Amino acid sequence: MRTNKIALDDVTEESHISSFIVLCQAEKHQAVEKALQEQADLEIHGSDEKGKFVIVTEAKHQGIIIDRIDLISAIDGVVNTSMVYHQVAAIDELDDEIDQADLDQPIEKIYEPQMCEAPTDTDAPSQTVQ
Amino acid sequence: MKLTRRDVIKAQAAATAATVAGISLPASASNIITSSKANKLTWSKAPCRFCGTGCGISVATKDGKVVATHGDEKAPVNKGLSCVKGYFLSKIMYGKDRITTPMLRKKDGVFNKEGDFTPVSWDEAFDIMEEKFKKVLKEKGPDGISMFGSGQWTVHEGYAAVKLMKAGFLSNNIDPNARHCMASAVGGFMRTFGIDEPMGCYDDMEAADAFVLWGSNMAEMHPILWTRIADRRLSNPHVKVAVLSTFEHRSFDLADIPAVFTPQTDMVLLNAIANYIIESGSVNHDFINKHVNFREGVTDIGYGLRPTHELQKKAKNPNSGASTPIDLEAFAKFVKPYTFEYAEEMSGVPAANIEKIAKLYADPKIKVMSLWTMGVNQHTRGVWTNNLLYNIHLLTGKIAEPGNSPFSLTGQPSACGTAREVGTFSHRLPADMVVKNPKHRALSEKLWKIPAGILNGKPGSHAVQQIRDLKDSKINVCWNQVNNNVQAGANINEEILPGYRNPDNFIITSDAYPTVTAEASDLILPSAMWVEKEGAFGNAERRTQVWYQLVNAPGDARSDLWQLVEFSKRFKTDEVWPAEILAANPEYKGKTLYEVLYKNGQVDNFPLSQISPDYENQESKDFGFYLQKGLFEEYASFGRGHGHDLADYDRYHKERGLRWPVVNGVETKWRFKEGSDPYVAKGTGWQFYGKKDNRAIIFALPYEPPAESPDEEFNMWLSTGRVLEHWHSGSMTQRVPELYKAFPNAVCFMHPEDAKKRGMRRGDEVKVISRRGEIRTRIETRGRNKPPVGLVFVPWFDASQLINKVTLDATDPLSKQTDYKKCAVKIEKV
Amino acid sequence: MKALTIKNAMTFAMTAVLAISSIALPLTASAEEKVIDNAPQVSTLRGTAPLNAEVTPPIIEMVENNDLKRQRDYPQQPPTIPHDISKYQLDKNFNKCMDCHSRKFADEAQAPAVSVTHYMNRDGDFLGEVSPRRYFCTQCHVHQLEGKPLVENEFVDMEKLIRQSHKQAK
Repeated sequence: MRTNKIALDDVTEESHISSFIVLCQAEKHQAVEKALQEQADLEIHGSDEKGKFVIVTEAKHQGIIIDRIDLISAIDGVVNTSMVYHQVAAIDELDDEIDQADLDQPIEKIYEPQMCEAPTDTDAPSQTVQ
Repeated sequence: MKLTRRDVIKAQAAATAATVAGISLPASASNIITSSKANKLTWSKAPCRFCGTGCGISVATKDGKVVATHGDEKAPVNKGLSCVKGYFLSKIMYGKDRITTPMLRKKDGVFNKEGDFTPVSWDEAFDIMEEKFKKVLKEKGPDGISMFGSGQWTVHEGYAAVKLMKAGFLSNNIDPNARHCMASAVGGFMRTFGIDEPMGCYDDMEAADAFVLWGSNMAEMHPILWTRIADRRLSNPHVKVAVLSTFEHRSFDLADIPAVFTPQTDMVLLNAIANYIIESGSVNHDFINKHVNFREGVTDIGYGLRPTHELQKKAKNPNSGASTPIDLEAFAKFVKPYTFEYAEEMSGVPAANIEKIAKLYADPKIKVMSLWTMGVNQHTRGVWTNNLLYNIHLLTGKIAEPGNSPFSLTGQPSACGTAREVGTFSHRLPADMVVKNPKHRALSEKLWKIPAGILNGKPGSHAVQQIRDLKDSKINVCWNQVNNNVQAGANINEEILPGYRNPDNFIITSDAYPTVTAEASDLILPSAMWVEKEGAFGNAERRTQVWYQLVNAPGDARSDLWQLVEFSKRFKTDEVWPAEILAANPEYKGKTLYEVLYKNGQVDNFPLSQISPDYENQESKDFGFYLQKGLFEEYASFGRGHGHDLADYDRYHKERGLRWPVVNGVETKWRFKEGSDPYVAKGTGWQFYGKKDNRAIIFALPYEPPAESPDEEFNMWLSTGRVLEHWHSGSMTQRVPELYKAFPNAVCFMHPEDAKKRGMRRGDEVKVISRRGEIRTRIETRGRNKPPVGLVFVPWFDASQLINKVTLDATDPLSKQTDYKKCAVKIEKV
Repeated sequence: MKALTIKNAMTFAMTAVLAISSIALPLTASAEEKVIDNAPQVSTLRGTAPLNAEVTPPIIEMVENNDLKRQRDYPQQPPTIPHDISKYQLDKNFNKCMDCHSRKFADEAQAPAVSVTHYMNRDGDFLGEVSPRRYFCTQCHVHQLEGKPLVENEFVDMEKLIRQSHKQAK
């Protein structure tokens, strides 16, 4: 049995990209949307009329991501904030441009895929799996 | 467009979250993901390979391998959920010991029954099979050969097998191991309703106010249906769950009314409930006056043992299903002795609890669903007990409408679709028809385009009889597909091994893995499994589900369908059909069985071009036509217009299954009920159209004791069954490390007091001994199953502990289904 | 032991026969019945016990209880339970698992919180609490006993396949 090991010992300059599903009371949809837009590091990628938002954020440290969850959860009308996806990447490669030809390259050329997104102990409170 | 890695990762993150949330993102966002080919997985649908629930599974493939499986969000059965077995389906095909080539027992280069398994080519394998089949057919005729399959055959495979045996070799010696599983349920349906399979559907689970489990442990055996019941119960405080069983198990965790009863006394409890319904004035007179007849059944019918067995000789009316008409008054008199006090005395269930359960049925305001599987079916009075269950639903008119549902669950993925609907039983033909009935045979001959009068009208040997016939040298060739009978059949030592190893006999076993059945055989054929072939299953709620071939089978492994059809090329009609029939129908002369059964102008009607270009189809490419579609469409012609209507084959590739009858493209949720079943006439309310007068039957049937009960020497009841993590004999699940490590070996679950009495502790090695054989196992006094004093439970998935050496091959005399749930044993410390 | 390596299997069978012969108790077969009296040739899960005999079963293993998370084969697969749950109450009145794994308590318990999918009902709508259909954790999540699987499994996960296809492309 393999035990999980996702410590990226060799990554010194890392960046964390995560996505969340935010659920709010449907009637407060607009107010919550506004509050989310006010946070500079949160990107709204999609939403529906039932009060669900898909949020993506990027941070230098996973602790910051956990703070973001707390912050979103504190918005009036938000019922639940769930992390769905979490990926760590080397920060100096994130700005590399990829052209269409590159996109046909095997995936690890574009980024290191974290297929089994398993939680570390420190981000356990907000960690989710699908 | 210029993109950075950041954009790609963010798009991936958003897409993943959007999928979970069910939100669709703008196309530009998802394009970033899909344009990366290397990351792309192909997702397809398939029903689960395991139990009769029939969950829809999303299967991911990449580079010819299955890489992921999870519950299909769009499947109405399971809506995204899957049990632990379903999540590990991805690994069942990749056990290191897959059989990839035929293997024949040989010595000095030739077949020898005591020889060693030696890899051979398909040609050599079919050569020896052909030789053995032809020899036996010549010497003994069609009764000398047999085929044993299962409810794990795909619909196409079961249909091809029935055709090969019944229309080709003219032998009715074909039976599925569904005989061990669902035969009593079939018997119950045919006797009460005249037509097989549940009237209700899984939607009942969201509509019922009460659930009563009769000897079923759904929490482990039908986990996904259990999630629907748990959802209903925990979301609605008024809902009640009653769980009845001979020992306490995981389903009791949700029980409002738990009841542990003495084995076989479920019959007493059911009659006591019928009595209560009558005495409390809860009979729905309007319903029974219009839709029900009463009959009293013949009693003392024996135990399906060999005629030479003492018990069988003692029976007054062995194997009789006869009955005479009575009325409600006579029925009321019949069940009158079954008071709660008597029921408590017999069953050990407190009268107060029996009353609580009875009230769930009697109260017209409570919608009640009864659920059962092996506890009721694997029962020497299995058909009767099915009848008694329908009695209480019919007395109250609680049937065939949302939430009011007597529901017979199934154990195998296509016990309904293949074993029952296709009719792979020794006495059946497709669409509920039987070989005994000359009209049914004539219709089959017409639809199969074979000469009139050719089909064999004598029912063949059923599962248990086949084994006895092998031992007695009446059957000399047996071909097993998709079953593991040396582990699953009862009384292995006295009946099965002697039959398999009888020097007169040649045993062929097709399987993906080397089971103990393969071990005891003479020739092993390597089979493709699950999504290595295109197929169809039919689940317990009449839902037919079709899947594509998603990956190729390893090595020389071929689907059972290919094996059956390819083998048919080796026989000419002149070798297997009577000369007088060929003389009267000269156009069939000199043709191969392949030509008259499969390349018959019907099955080969659909060209290869109709196969989806996105998927492989090994068999069709080999034979040159869309084999699965041809078989399905010919098979469907049996049921269309007869209450068994199936949709066009192509539609099933698009749907997450459809519940038959599918009339004018619409599936049927509740049969027999006006408004939901197109076969029911307006203004009638209900029509049980399986019977000529549209009336179902309430049967007066008494309690009769089991074949074997504990005595002074063999002083414990033995019940056998499954566990959540393993499916049937464990031949697939034991090869998945996570499932193996969750429950690696069988144990003997026992009450701590019983252990203490015998000076045993948890983990001690013991022998479980019956009059027929013994196994060695270890005592478990904790864990998921808590038997009462006097009963032990041993699961049968473990090939290293063959508990069926211990069980008794007593059967229900009507359904011929084995009783694996009760026999007498003693437990000794080693 | 792979089914097809007959030579190896036979050597194995021979040694096994020696080991077993003292406890084997053939019940029905004649003396010539090699097939059921001897150790199996192909039937991997049967081990070394002849079809005709029953041998000492393995001990009941301990539950792996190290709290080490295990690698999953693909993202949707439910994680196996890396600790002992034998004394946990899990019935309609109480769910002990949620003491640590609910989102409220996962923080202090340092246990992974249940995933977001567990909040969805049959229709895919999100609920404020874990959906009742997911209430019985053990339907998907199972503990693991110590001890080695009998048969190796050659499943290859998608990450490895992606890497392989990349290498082949080169």
